[in-house]
Amino acid sequence: MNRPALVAAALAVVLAAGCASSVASPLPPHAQPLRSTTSPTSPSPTTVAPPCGDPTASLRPVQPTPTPGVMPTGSWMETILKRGYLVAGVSGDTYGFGYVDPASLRLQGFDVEILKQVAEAIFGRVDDQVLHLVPITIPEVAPRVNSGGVDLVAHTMTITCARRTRLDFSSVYLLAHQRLLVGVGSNFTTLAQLDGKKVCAAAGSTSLDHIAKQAPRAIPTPATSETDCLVSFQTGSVDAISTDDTILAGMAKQDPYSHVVGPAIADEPYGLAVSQSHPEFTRFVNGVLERLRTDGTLAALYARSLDTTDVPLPPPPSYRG
Amino acid sequence: MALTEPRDRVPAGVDAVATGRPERPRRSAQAATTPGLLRICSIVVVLAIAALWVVGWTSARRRHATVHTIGTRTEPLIVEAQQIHAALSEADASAAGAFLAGGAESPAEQTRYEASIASASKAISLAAQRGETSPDARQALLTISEQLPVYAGRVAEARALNRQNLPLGAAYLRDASKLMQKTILPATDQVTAVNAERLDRAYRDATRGTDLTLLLVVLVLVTAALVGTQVLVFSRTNRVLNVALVVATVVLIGAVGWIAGSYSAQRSEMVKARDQGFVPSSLLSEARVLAFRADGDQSLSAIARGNGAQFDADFDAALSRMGYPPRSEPTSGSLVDALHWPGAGAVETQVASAASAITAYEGVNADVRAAVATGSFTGAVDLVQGKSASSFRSFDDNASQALAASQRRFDAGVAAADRKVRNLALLMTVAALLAAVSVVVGLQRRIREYR
Repeated sequence: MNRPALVAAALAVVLAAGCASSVASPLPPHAQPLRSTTSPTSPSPTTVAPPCGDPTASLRPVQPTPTPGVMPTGSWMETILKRGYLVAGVSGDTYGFGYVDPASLRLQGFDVEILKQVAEAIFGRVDDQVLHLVPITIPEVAPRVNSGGVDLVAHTMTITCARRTRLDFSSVYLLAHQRLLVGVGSNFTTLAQLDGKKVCAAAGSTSLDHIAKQAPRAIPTPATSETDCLVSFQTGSVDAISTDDTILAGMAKQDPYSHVVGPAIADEPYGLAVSQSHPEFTRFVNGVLERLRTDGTLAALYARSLDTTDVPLPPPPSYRG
Repeated sequence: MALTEPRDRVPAGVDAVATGRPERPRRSAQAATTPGLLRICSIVVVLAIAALWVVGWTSARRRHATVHTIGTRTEPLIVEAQQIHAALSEADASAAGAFLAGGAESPAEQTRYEASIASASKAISLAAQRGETSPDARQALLTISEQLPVYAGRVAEARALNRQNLPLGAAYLRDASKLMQKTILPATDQVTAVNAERLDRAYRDATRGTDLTLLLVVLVLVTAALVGTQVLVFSRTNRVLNVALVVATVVLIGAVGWIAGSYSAQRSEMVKARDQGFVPSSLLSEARVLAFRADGDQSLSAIARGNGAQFDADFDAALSRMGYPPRSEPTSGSLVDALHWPGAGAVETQVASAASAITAYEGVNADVRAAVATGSFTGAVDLVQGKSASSFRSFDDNASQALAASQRRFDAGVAAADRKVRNLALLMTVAALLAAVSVVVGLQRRIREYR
């Protein structure tokens, strides 16, 4: 028998068998778990704006105000009139100011009422045809207003020097104050007492800055929107919410076991945002606000929208030219 | 004959005259060693056969046990983990869907939500009963069973608030969804990952190439021992062939050959089960989960009333992971991979229908976003509940069918592999016994001839 041949044959078989390596069966790459894509909203860095004097000083209205349906030639109001509708941005989820009613799925609130008044002053009537309400978020306001896609924004928006660098604002239509919402049983009344406690506010809001400034030892906790703060508050993951008293009032109404306390932490003057490229429109809007202020409509709209008798006096307008 | 002479040990069949009278020392050595050598040879050969039996029996036992465990335990655990994930994802999507219409939820979505939660709970308790051994997976299952009631509580709270027309309801829903997406679903992913790793390990274990190598090496040694013995018998006794040794050799080579064939058949069944079953079913399962996630995002974005940029981004990310990034050409992703997977042949039509449904779904979603952006919430809700829902149903029906078919093929492939290696340990034992007995009996007869 030929031994070497036998051994060689055996070796060949063994090597061939060894080549049939084991079968792996890992999860295919695209069946691996999806990583979370939404990162938690972090507070946007506060841009320090150059001082601008009184940021609330707006442009003086022209008297007399134009008749509805007849707008001055070449003005932005004429552009809107010719287009056939006013595009107005508003919050979609700020209870009492701009929110979608869950039953009718329509936008409503105090901000919406003011926008209706402006549309009526241009067209002489107000309905879905002449007023296109679009939900908008604060970071979107400047780009969309400046691109001309949105004519006017009412969004419980505080007039600040930082925002004034990119936008123009109407005169103040409501003076809100940042305050504190706490549980009915708690003893907290001021920010200073909240050392080491979690205080919630909307990410990127002026309220967050004020918390950091006035209560450095409190823990500012940003949420995507103010309403999300109320969920955190009710589920016990934050101790207090600090934002505009107007918004807090809406929250207290949704949660009977909470109430608004303490002195004003900061003034929050609300203005309507307009593009800087058509000052005549800012003057026109101020003219509408002037009338609403003097004939009591503003107060009536506030009382009706927020279902309250506690109506703050609209502050006297301040003009810069 | 001299009386002092020892008894002649020349085999009885050999003529004493023919052998002549060789000198004493040589005769004595030959007489003493031939049966002794044969005895040693029989011991060596039997030991070698025993070694072959140990090697063959161990690998056959282990392969069969591993394949059996894959079929009866590992695979069901993976399917269960995927079912939990899918059911929870569907629950989250339908909880959001139920909110769309406003105050009173849509009863269909409501039913879908309840059914998904019930089926997830059932799968979770089944998984818990199986007695998870991995600490990671146990912890993950614990997280799921702890957080699921919290999730359901938030959804119930959201519903109660929504019925009072309070926007806080939507915020509770967002919070619940966050809990689901960031805590509960990652825990189910953990369970899937542990089981997938287990399957990978079991697959490697059940198809070890060294099993066959080792078996063949030992077989070569046994054969060498048998052939050596044969040569010895031939040279010492002038017998041409020892039938017993031939029988042992043939039986062992035959048995090992049979085992090698079975291993190779089992291996190819397992490759088939993986390629036509496990891979497409994993891809489709992931595609369904992503689709549910996208569907939930669509509803949450519409409920956020224009404040839903994060949900829109998540929707886009989920579709991109399926291979259908919005507003661009299909790329690589779970559904696209399932579509182009060579092993997906039998479910190709369903996967193709699912893929075209998802493209249509994406198209409708663009309209939904446009409607929300212009403040037409009733229009958005109509689209979501109408065209969008029907595209989604078409996707889900097709994907579920393809998924079930792939899972069946996985099951069938593993069962076939199981059958291929079922009786190999027994075969090895019988063959080794037969060979050993044959060698012992055969050589014993030769040895006895010297007495």
